[in-house]
Amino acid sequence: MTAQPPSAEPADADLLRRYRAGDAAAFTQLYERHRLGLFRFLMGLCGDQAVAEEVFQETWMSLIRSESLQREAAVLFKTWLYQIARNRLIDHWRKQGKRQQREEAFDEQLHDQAMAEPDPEWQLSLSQDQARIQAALADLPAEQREVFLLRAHGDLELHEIAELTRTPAETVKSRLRYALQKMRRLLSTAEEVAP
Amino acid sequence: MNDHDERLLRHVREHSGERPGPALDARILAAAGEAAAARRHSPEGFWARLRRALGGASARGRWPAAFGCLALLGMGLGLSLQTLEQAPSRYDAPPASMQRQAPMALQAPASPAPMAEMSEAPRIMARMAAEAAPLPAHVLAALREIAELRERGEAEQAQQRVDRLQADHPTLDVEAELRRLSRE
Repeated sequence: MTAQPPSAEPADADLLRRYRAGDAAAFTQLYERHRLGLFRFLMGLCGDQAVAEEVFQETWMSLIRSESLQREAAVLFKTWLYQIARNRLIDHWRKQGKRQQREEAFDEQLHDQAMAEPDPEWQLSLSQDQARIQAALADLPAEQREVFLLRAHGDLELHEIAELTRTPAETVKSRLRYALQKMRRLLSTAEEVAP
Repeated sequence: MNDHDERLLRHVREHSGERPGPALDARILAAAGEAAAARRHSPEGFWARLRRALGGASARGRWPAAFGCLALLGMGLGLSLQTLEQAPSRYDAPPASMQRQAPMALQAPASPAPMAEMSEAPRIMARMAAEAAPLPAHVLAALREIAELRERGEAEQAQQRVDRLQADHPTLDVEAELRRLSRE
């Protein structure tokens, strides 16, 4: 997963430095650490295995081709990696001329009123069906989905997401709150059995 | 973010099964391995070394380099200006080093000649030319006549003849010519 490595393991920046010096094993370690989180972030954003794989490969290739150490070191490596992936996906969408546009403001208002404080029992009965999770993600407005995925799979903090998406931190916080509310509602078993 | 939010995020994380295909993993790892091998085996290029020396140097190392460049630029500019000042205005002028080695007598005067001295030049030249040229025959005859009158003691007639000759030839030094005639 994308959780921070234990302190005994080398940091991302150290692995990158070793890889730049010709240590292929360091790259393998870096890749294994971030591959699932990055791929699931892309899958959650585009919902298409082929597109996710294409962008995923381009992202890692750009890291392989890059000679720079400073740029990655200036920001958290993970933030840089997800930013590259995000930009590549946006480029892909631009080329294809299709990106789902949603009325986020309307959606945020709707769920702000609909959701009260969550019931703990609801939390335990969340659907474990992968397809249902994917469907719930697809139902989120694009900006909320992006913030949710960066938090869930990238394990990025709010200020890192704000930096990555070039969005004010308060806006990021608000989007994440609405996304969590909606995901909780969509994944609850109670809703699933409701008529 | 409360505990419920964290549980929801963890739930989504744990139940997301998407993963890249094995072929994709293999392609990426192979490309990374090749690039790493290339880095190990290829010596660092000139531009990479230069970039590392310039860009990768510490701030403490960059400042002396910047000041050094400025000093070098200043010296170059100063030398250029000095050379321009010494440059001859004509293409065939002697080099400055030759001018410095020329004897004092050949050098131009430090200050221009006074205007009075400059205005005397034509008269001096005319006088020198007149002295070099032979006197006309009628002037010589007049001078001999004056000399004979003085020898005979006819001073008054001699002076009248001198006055007449001087009137005809104002630039002629009659007495000087009479002395030269007596020496011949």
